[in-house]
Parts: sequence; C-alpha cells; structure tokens
Amino acid sequence: MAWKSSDEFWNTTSRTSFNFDDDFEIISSRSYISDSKSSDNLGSIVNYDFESASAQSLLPIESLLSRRNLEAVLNDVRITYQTPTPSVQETVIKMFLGMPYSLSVYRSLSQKLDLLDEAIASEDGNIILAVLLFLKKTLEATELYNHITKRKVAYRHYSNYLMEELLEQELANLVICSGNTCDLVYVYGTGLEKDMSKDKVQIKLLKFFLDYSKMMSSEQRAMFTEYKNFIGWQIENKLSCHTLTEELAFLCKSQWETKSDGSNCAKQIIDFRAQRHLNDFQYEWIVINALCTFEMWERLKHLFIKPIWLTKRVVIKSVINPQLFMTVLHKHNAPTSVLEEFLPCIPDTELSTSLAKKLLCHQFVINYYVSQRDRLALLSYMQEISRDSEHYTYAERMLNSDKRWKN
Amino acid sequence: MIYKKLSSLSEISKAQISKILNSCSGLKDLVLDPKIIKPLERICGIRWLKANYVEKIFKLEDNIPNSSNPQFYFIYTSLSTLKKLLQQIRLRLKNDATVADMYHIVIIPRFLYVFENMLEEMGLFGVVKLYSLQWQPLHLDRGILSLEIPNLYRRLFVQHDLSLLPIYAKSLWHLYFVIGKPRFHFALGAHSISVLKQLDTLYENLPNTDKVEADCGAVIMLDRNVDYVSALLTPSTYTALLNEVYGINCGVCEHKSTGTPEHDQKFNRIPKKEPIQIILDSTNDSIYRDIKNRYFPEVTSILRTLTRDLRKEGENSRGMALDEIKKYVSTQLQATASKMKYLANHLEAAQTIINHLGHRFEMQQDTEQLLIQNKGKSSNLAYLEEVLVTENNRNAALRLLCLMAITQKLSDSEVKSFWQKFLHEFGYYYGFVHNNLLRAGFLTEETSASANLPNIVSKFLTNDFYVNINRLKQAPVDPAKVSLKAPTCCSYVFGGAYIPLIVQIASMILCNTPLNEIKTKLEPLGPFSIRNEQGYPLEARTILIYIVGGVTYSEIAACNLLETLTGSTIIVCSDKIISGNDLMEALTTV
Repeated sequence: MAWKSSDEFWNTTSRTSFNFDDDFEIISSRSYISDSKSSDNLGSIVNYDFESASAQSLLPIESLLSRRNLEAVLNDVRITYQTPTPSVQETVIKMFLGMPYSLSVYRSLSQKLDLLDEAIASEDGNIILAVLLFLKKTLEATELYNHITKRKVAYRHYSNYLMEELLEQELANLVICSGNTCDLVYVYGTGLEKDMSKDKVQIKLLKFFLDYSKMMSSEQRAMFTEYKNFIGWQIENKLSCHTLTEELAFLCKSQWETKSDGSNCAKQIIDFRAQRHLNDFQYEWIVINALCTFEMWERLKHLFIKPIWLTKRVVIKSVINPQLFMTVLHKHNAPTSVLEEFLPCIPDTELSTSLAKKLLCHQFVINYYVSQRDRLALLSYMQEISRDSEHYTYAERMLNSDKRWKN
Repeated sequence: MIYKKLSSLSEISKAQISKILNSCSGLKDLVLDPKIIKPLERICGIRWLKANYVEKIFKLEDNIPNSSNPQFYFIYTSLSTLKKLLQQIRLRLKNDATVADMYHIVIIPRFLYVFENMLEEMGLFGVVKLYSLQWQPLHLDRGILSLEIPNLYRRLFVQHDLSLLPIYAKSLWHLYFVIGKPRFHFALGAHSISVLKQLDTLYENLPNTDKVEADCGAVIMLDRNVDYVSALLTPSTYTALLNEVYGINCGVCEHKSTGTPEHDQKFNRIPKKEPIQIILDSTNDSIYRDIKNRYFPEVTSILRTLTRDLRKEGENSRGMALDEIKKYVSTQLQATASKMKYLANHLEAAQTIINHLGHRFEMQQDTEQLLIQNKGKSSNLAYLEEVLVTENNRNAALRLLCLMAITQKLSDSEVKSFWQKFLHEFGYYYGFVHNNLLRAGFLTEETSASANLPNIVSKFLTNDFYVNINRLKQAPVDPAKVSLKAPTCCSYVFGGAYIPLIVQIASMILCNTPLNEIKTKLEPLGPFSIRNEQGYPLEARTILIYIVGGVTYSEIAACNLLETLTGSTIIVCSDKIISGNDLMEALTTV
C-alpha cells in the first residue's frame, strides 16, 4: 500500500511538472493519507493521528532550497523501475554472433523465460547454458528447476553442465525435481572413474543406494544391488578385478596356474558361478580358455566329455557349439592328439569330419573314410597330406589292407 | 581446380593462427593438447611456426611447462580440460610474480560463455586470455574434408548438447568465401535443419561471400542418426577396415610396436597387430590410390601381385649393364624404393586385418545381411551372444546390439538378457550405457510393443526400417549377385547388403529427380528442409555432402563409386571420419 501511494505521488508530480511560477499547491502528506483512507477496499487502513505543524509555521519550499536542489532530492526517490530492455531476440542474436551483450537487464520472470525460450530456439548450446547460468544466479533453485523441467533441451544442457562440474547433489535435486528418475544413473556416474579403488566405489555405491534406491526402477535397483554385493564380496576376499568374468578368470588362474589341481573343479569357482548368477556360456568360455592356456587337457576332457545316459555314447557336453568349441582349442594350439579325442564326441559326423579337415587332424579323417569304406574319398584326401608324413604312410597302409571298399 | 582450393584452405587457417600468435610480440611457446598435434601438423609445419616466433613446443600434461616465454595453450572445447589447466595456472601465479600477457588459451573450435564465467570466478579474468579458433576443414585426401573436432557425435546425439552445433554453419560460411554459395541446399535431420537456420542468421548479419559463381551445385546435409546402419555394418573396403582395426586419426593410420601379451585377462588369444605407418594420401601413394576403395579380398591379391612385380624388377636390375644400372638408380630406384616401403606397410596392415577379423568376417557379414533382410532372428541373437562372450570386445558386442535394435527390433526381455551378460562381461561400471542407448535413439522407452509379440505375428507388422529401405531401394534383393570385384552398385561397400542413405539421396539429386518425389520418399525418415534459389535442377555437377556427427570411410567409398557412375564430383565433409567403434566409444563414456 505504501508502495502504491508513492507510485501515485510520482504520477501526480510528474503529470504536472513542478513549476515555482505557478500557484501550485503541493499535496500535503496529510491530505494524501486521508485520500487513501476513503477507499476501504485497499486493505487495512493505518490509523494516522499525527498532527503536523500548522501550515502557517512552515516556510514555503521554494525558500528552503533552490529548484535545482529540489530536483536532486526528488530524483533521489528510488522506486523499482523497469529500464527499457532490448528484445530477447536482439540479445540472442548478439550472443550468437559473439557481440557484447548483457543479460542482467532481464529481471522479471516473464523476461527471463522469454530469454530462455529464445536461447533454446537459437539451437546454440553456448547461449542456452549462458542463459541458464544467468537464471541460476537470479532465481531460486526450485523455481529454476520448475522451468527447466518444462523444457527438455534446457534440462539436458543444465544436467550435462552439473555433471561436468561434478555438482552431484545439485544434479540429484534436478533429476528428482523434474521426475526424470531414470537419469539417477548419471548422478552415480558423476565423477566416476574407471580405475577408482574398490573402497571408494563401495562408499559411493552405498551412499547412492541409501539416498536414491527407493526412486529407482526395479531394473536399476536390481543392477545396483548386484553391483553392491559384488564389490562387497571383492573387498571381503581382497580381489580387485573389474568384471565378473575377469574375476572368474582370476580364480581359474590361481587354481590352475600351478597345474596341481586335484580331481574336480575347485569349489571356489563353482561357488562363484552360483552366487553371481553367471550365464553358462560365459562361465564355460572362461573355464575352457583358462584350461587351454595352462594346458590342462585332462581336466578339460574330464569337465566337458560326458556319456549320454541312454546310449552310453560320449559327447561334448557344453552350451558352446562344437564348432566354436573345437576352434578355440585349436586357437590355443591344443595338440592334435587332444583335438582327436574331442572330435569323435561330436555326434554329427559330417561336422566332425569337416572340422578335422580344417584343423588338420589327418588321422581322424583317414579313419573316418576307412570306416565308411570310401576309398575314393580317402584317395582324394591323400592329395592334401604331404607325402613324407606318417599320416600319408598310414593312409597308404589302410588302402593296401584287405578292407572291403564300397568304391 | 576445386581440389586445389580445398587443399589450400590451410592457408586461411594459418592466417587465423598467425593473428592469434601475433597478439603478443616476441618469442612464445606452444603447449598442445596431444590430440591437437596431428591436425595442427596438417595445417602448418614446424618451420612456419618458427617463422611466427614460436620457440618451443610442449605437450599438455599434468604439469604446465616452466618457461619465461608467453605460453599459448591449444585445447579442444572442454570445460573440464580448461578447468584443470586454469587451476594449474593459478597455482603457478601464486608462486610467481605475475607477468602480463603470459597465458593465452586457444580453444578449438570455440570457447563458451561459461568459460568466461569460470575465468571470472577463478579470479583469472584479464590475466588469462581466451581465443576461439575455428580452423578451416582439413583436406585429408582427394575430396575428403574434415573439421577434425572430436566427440561431436557424443555431444550432439548422446548428450543432446548443442554448444558446438553452430560450428557447422560457421564452417560453411567460411567455405563459401572460397567456393561460392551453392544455390541449392538440402538438409535431412533436426540438427542439419538447424545448421541451415544458423547459416541464414550469419548471412543476415555478417558479410556474404564475394564469389558470384559457386563451384558446387548443391549441399546435402544429413544427421548421423538418420542413417546409423551405414556406421554400424562391418565394412568391406580396405580403408574402412583399416579404420576398424587400427583406427585412423586425421588421415594417418599409425601403430607402433608394443609388447602385447599372448592372452587378455580372460585368456582369450590376442591377435597380433603389426606396426605400421600409412598416410592415406592417394596423390603420393599410388598403391593406396588403387586399393583404398576395393573390396578387401581383392586387395590382398593385388598386393601379392605387386610384390611379385617389384621383386621381378629387382631381379632384372641384377642383370643390367653398368650404364643401365646408372640410369635405373637415378630414375627408377628411388621410386621403387618408396613404393616398396608403401607396399610393405599395406601388406602388414592387410595381414593384421585378417588376424583381427578373419575368423568371424563371414559369419558377421552373413548375420548383417540377414538383419538387413529381416530374416533369422533367433540365429542372429545366438550370434550376438557369441560375439559378446567370445570376443571380449565391448564395442563389437554393443555395435551388433545397436544394429539389431534398429533393424529387427529387440523385445524388453532380449535387451535385458543381453544387458545382464554385458555387465558381467565388461563391468557394472557401464550401468549408464543403457540410458545412453535410449538417448541416442537405439532403444525406445516403450521398446516398440511389436517387438514383444511372438515372431510370427511381428513379422506381419510393418517395421519402419524395412519400409524405408525398400522405398529407397537401399537393400539389393540378392546380395550374392552384387559384383564386389568390379562394383557397379554402391552396396559393395557392405558386401552387397546395403546402400548408404547419403548415396541414394545424392544420386536422386544428381539425376534431377523432381523435388516432390524426393520429398515423398524422404519424409518418413525425419524432418527435412530444402532451400532452392533457382538452383535445381543442378547446374554444376559438383556437390558437397556434409554429415553432422561423423562420416565413415564406407560412405566415402560409396560416394567415390557414385562419382564414377554419374560423372560427377562429390566432396564429402564432416566433423570427423569415424567408424562404428567411435559411436560405441561415445555411448560408453560417462
């Protein structure tokens, strides 16, 4: 109300310019107040009883001070005043072109939001972020978040900035306030480094989990729970690999490097697989590679060649397809004798023969053709074997045997 | 003529750098972000720098160099790099009496307003000077322009950060000063459209080109995410494969010998990587000119023949008379010797490509063809699992997942199953990658309801991807019939499976297809915009293709073939030459 009064006062005085020559009556504060008293709807009325000195005892204002000085006093009456502002379009174009500009002139909320929308429309992130940081300085956080939430582009720019500046808490507030809870992973990701110590990761995880687990989606929560448990287990066991499969490989190494393993797969390895819900393919792949690396062929056979209960035939028992299984053995330079022990365990003879050819297991191929009584196929295969090798001699011996060939 | 102009763009870059260096008289030192060394070498040699009073050049490391000369730091736009640097400078200033005009930071391609705020907040405003330097695109090889600004794909398509988007319009504005402003512009994708708008703003407020005639008839702009497939498919051509296996930086493919162990941490055999150094320059290296765009199996046989020929030449020289030898030494020997060097490098590189991809190349290509033809989803999924588990290669697995996600689409449970294995294989650290895939548009929040239906049902539902590639005839009906040896179809760059979108658009424009028809065909792919100042049908048969977010060598090879087929000249420009692996790196970085 007081503000309104001074506003009216200003208007009154400015409407009729102050002129000492005219017989001008300055509205006294007394009469002014009583004016406002008359309008009841303006709110509670001040009971103003103070009686000012009678008009006669006062000196006229013009004798008190010069016109120039009175103007100075009046000019000193300060009010919230809107300076004329350049249009937001003009400012944004200046910013786009790299010319001098000023944002501090935009003080009302509607101006600020116009400015933000114009910045977004420019599709220049440099401008968008500059405007957002100006808003951050001049608006309350919750007010700012409210407006950012309604503008996806602004949200992205601001959250990227908070992440890069490692302002984790602010980022979390923004994410939660805007309802983008799936972005909570980025809160966790803020300041995350690949080779952080396990202890640091654990602290970060526990804190993150404590603060935000209720807001996460069930999938995210499940993932973070698994992660937390794994790190906890690693710290407990003084292990430090980056991933589950690396950890399994490490366990295999510590178990088999010395080649002194007894009969069965170590308990530690089996437990690990069960506790960590490791997929069969991933598990077997690591185990095979580890056994091959340490040349533990007997163990490999023991683990992966099994009889079928019904037919008593032995087969390769693995989720890994036979082709891949054989190729990886070959990649690790498994001796031909080992390959030839696995080859018969592939029920599909066409496949096993073609693999044998590819992996140069001549003995296996020769035996196969002999068993098929296929003389012609054997003859043509012999072209591929070097003449002075023992396999060639073996094939020749087979050819000259009194076998009954079908062709 | 146009190539000469493009190669000479570096003269403008030099003038820009010279202006910055001359802002401070006397001797000065340069401190370079290691990633900037290669592009800067391309722009100016050491002699030029010395002539501009550069005394010493340092690599930017954890500690800033101690020298009495004014220092010019060159870094790429990055808030965190700048902050680290400023912290160091502030530390140095505390110990040292301040010398005026000592620290200058040149930021490529531009500094941001937030950098100035930071300078102010750290009390360094006025003490440290910032400069924006948007150098001219580098002419890496015939018709290939690259801004060599890293991480733009990540910024624009994963983080949705538009801070550097204006550099595309700026680069065109610069370029048109040299080659004139084309009268036909075509943009497909949200960012490309913004680039044209920003270009308008520059034209309305800043000087226009003084060239009346334009060298190019058209500019075609495309967002990387409109054609992800061209970046995800395994390439078949030599240069593209070099980029896959070694990585190419600024037109140079380099690998120094390192003692690699036999196994990785999971006991997988590590294939050997031969040390090489190849500058991908078709002008000087005639062997490279011949093989760069060839189907890879062809390359090995050509290299073998070349080796035989050179050996024969060496043998012949042995039987020469003395004066013949003299002539041979003075004229041919040096050429032969340098050819031998080139050849040796290409042979090593080809061997490494075979070592790295040979074992799965066929299977990979078969799977990719099935994906493009929407066949064999379950076997494709099985192959995805195989790659994930057996390759120990994060990028390879994720890349195939992305390809499947945009072609055949994946159900929630398929993604979930992959995800669990992925995290077990490569670490929970990558927990955020799933979100990045959503942001970049590989996965959608509602993982398309159709993907969750049984296969038989979903097959009858139209999948946008297949509808689109059929409309644009991007997938040859029978890839086996595409000639790979002497290609006449641009799909050869992917073994006959797929024609890059940019090639189909360029070919429609070069053939003067009515604009309405082009509109109808491309409308479903995303927003697009056409600026035609009476420039269509095209007058000049030279066009500029500009890809926002990185172009691949496969696309370049396909454009080169299109040039031959249509008798046109195609300049390909981008922020960086990338491979699918670069996209995967962008997705797996926090």
